[in-house]
Amino acid sequence: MSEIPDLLDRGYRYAVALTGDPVRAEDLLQEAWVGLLKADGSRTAPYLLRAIRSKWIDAHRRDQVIPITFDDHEQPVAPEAERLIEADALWAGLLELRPEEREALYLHLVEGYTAREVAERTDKPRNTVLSLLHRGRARLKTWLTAAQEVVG
Amino acid sequence: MTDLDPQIKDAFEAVSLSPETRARLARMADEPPRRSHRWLLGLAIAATIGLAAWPLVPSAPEPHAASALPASTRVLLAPEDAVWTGDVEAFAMEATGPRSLGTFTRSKAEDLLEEPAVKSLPGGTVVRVLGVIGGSRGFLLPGPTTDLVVSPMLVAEDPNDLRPVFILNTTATHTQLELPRHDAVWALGKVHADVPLSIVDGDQGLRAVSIEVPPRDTWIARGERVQIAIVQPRGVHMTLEAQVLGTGDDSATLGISPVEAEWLVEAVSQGGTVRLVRLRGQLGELAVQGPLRRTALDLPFGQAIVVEDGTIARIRFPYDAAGAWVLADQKGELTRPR
Repeated sequence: MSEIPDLLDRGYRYAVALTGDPVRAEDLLQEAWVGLLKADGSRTAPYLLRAIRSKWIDAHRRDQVIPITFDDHEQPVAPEAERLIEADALWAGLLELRPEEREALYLHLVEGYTAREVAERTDKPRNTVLSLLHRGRARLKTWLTAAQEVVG
Repeated sequence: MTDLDPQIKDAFEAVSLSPETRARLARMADEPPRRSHRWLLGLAIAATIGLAAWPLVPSAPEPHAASALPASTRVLLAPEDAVWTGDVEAFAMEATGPRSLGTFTRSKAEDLLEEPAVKSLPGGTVVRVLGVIGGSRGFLLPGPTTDLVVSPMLVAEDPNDLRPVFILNTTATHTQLELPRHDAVWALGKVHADVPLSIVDGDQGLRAVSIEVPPRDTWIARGERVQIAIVQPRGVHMTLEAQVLGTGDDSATLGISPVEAEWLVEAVSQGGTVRLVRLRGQLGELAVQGPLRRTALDLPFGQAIVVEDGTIARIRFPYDAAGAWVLADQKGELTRPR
């Protein structure tokens, strides 16, 4: 009976990979999960991940039209992300990556999809995915090296 | 495969949902969201009641008018964009009631709270910043609320598990709280863990409808299904069904969908009236409810006023200040108690 909890955790990790923010990831997961249940969709990882990605894109579109009043134009902060950073230093570097890079790394390394499969799921050319993986790893490595120099 | 890949994989796999959230989402799978198919029946009944009740519906007092019985119902439409972007809404209190100060980032909203409680806004309005409402877990910040009290709705069984809540307004007998969806779900799931948090419809999931009702005599029960009838001058426009997700000593929370909430707002903005209807035929569902159950038969009708506050729309259901509730039974027979 652990399928659904495991599935939810997988969805949450993917949502964190997309948003870089545990709280927003939780919201995103819930939104996708509710949509999946409402549509009586298959409760499997591919469906859930696709729903999460779709909701994430929707959220991005909404971001384009958010009314900003007064004179505040700061980027929203993600205080809960600090929890990730504290939990694992590597996360500090992961959060420096672009969402597309984190997403590609997650799907490839955690979900085990090939570059071609990642490309199919993210509607990107395979070469773009390979590039995202390469650049993501390179940036992460650079970041970690710099961090170690600071510490060491 | 690089030497970094296993570390990346481990980092991702170290992330997991909180057990509480995981359990809540899993519970949704046991009770998937669904739309009521009884609306046709409800429509017919509510049409009978609504049309018959029309002349007797008390006129609505001004929002937040001084009243010995300030019962009101608020449909809270969470600031959708804010919920998903981390922006928040700050609210302030004027003489006429709460108003939204606009949408800010969290840091700006936090700054607002740290500023002196009384401040002058553009236009010369002097307000007291009450608090900030956010859309994400753990981000409800209490404002300078030293003279306010927390509604019993959120008093958890474990006193150590209390949660800060945003207090919109208080009177001698009522406290109005404003909760974004997730916090309402969290609070209700925490306090009333035996209540399934069903989501009626809508991709966005649950939105809280906070109802304040007169104490004791016209109580509704947790788990009860009530109907919201939208009545326009030509007759009943539509009815919606909602479940009472939780109750406190003087408040209750209904679950409706965002889509339905938008219907309410749209209908009322076009001149319609929203009324709450409880059908006696459904009282049998109350038998399984908890200690907060009351034996009152009907929920009073109310007349709605739409208050637009920036990105948030609210529907208020002020009742007759004199307490002349209009009740209706299943046959549409109307009474004015006491």
